[in-house]
Amino acid sequence: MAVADNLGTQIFLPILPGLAEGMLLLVIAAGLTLTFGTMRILNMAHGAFFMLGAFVAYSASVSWSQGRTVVVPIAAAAVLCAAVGIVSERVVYRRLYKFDSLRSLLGTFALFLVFAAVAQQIWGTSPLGVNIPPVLGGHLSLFGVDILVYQVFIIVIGAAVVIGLRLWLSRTRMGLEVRAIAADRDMAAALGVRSERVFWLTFCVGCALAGLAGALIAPLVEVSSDLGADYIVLAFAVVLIGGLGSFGGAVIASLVLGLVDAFTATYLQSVEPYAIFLTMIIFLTVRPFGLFGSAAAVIEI
Amino acid sequence: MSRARLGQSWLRPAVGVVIGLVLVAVCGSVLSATLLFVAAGILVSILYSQAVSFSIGFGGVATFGNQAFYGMGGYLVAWLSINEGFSNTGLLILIGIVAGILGSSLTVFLVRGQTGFVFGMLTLAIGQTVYEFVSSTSVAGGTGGYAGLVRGPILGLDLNNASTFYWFLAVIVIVVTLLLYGVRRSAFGQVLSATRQSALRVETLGAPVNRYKAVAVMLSGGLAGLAGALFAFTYGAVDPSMFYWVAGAAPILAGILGGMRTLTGPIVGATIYGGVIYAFSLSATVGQLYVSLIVLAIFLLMPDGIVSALASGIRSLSTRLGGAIARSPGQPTERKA
Repeated sequence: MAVADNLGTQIFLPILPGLAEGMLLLVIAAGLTLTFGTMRILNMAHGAFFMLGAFVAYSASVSWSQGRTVVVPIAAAAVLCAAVGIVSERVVYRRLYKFDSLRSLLGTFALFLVFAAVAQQIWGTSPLGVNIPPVLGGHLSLFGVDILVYQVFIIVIGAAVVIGLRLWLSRTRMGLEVRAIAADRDMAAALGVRSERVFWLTFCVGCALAGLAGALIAPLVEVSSDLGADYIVLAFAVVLIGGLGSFGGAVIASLVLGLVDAFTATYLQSVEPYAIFLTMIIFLTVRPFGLFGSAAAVIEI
Repeated sequence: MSRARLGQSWLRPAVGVVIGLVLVAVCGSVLSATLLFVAAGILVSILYSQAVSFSIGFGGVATFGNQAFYGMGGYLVAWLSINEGFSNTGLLILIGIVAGILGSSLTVFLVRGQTGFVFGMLTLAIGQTVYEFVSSTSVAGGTGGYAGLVRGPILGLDLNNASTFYWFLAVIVIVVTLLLYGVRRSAFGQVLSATRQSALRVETLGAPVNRYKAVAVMLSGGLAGLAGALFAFTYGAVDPSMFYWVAGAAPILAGILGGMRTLTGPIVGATIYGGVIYAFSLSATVGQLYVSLIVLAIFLLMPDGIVSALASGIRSLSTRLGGAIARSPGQPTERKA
């Protein structure tokens, strides 16, 4: 590990881990924003899909690819979470649309606990470790700072997800329908947008993103059924600070929160556990609607 | 009306009260010491669920930070008793309540002016901040918490006797239920309920909506502090998980199960919740799986909870049996906040 001997290096040291963490938060929060934007459901169970993704990545890397390939765990997590997402949309979420937002929130929380309990049955209660794929296991030296290749990988994947989502929403027919539903559900439906199809498709994409994020984080943390509970709060922090339903806001908020966490982890370790929560409390006290949110998007529950 | 029908407005609560009291008495006299201990735990979780259901269900205020007040009550009692040698049980319980009220007042002050989901997530963030603090500082016992709390006597009663302790908790639950009954019926409760249904209309009528909500959160915080204090007395130990937000969701789920907006819903819900967990207590994870599946199923089938579903079931049954007059005017059907 290179010693941070000058100021420039010291400032640079936490930036890359911070960006990596921010990108992870962004991939989780993007799915959350997507489902909220269309279905108007504050989906607590999103954290459960994230946790599920991490567990699937564990199983895939242990049994299938012997921890050698990069793609298999990530693809398996995304596909499986999307599949589970489709089933839960049919069984659970479809019944939640008619509820007010507090009730649908509580309903998704019940689903969250079901998934956490199922995961405990399948994978047990003790935390599991996942190895970083050997291809990405090395270190790089950048401006005298030692960094993990895996962190660069996360940033690249995160950026690809953001750009992909952006293009999907702005360039495709489906993306247009998603935006139409997000802007005015009734008007979009009156103009012939099949809202049910948009709902389950965006939900499916959201769950796949959650699974992808879970698979990405699996090698960096201990995988356990508590994983979802910790990260769903952070993801909601991103969504609220960015402004509910604002994609650009979520991008900025997640990167800022990731950097805040990395800087405090490096230089202010006593503050680190509270850093993100305090940022959220202070920021939302000053700007209750977030960066790019408006009073219209605030939901009464 | 000379003939009492099941659909009559006063009779249904009366039947509920009688069934509840009989159940409490039967449990108190039949159960073994071990099962009385389980029942005591359920009574504590009933109180906790009543606290949470009052603010979220009846008041319509989305507070997700009650676990902080619950934990404060428990920790303060455990700390004062173990480290400072406090032995006055009554005083300790009072301190737990005050801790809950002070904690919730501070929270309300910090998030003043916020509404809806932002309010909920901020209370959750404050709760998590407290959780991180408690689990990392040695003053609060770190991850281990405190253990070794001794139950002192109260009013000459020896609380170390399982049966006495059960009755002690049962009386507290009954008193709290009566208190909540009174609060819901009072002018304050009526306005609070109206606030839940339409904050805008109540505000237009000139009532200070935020102040009503603040008082609801403080009352709920005080009750959560009481529940936390009694938790400490029941198990003799406290640990940081009391402050964790997922653990704080258990009383919310119990409330959903029974019906958050009703007076008796949290009682029914927490009893079923605790009962299922106990029934599968050989494997804690299996119990958690079944209880969460039950909550989800009940939520999807009867979104207003078991008590509301039962009440409307009896109402429609008596309408069918007794003609058109059975629907009592005091029970408007409410579907949406």
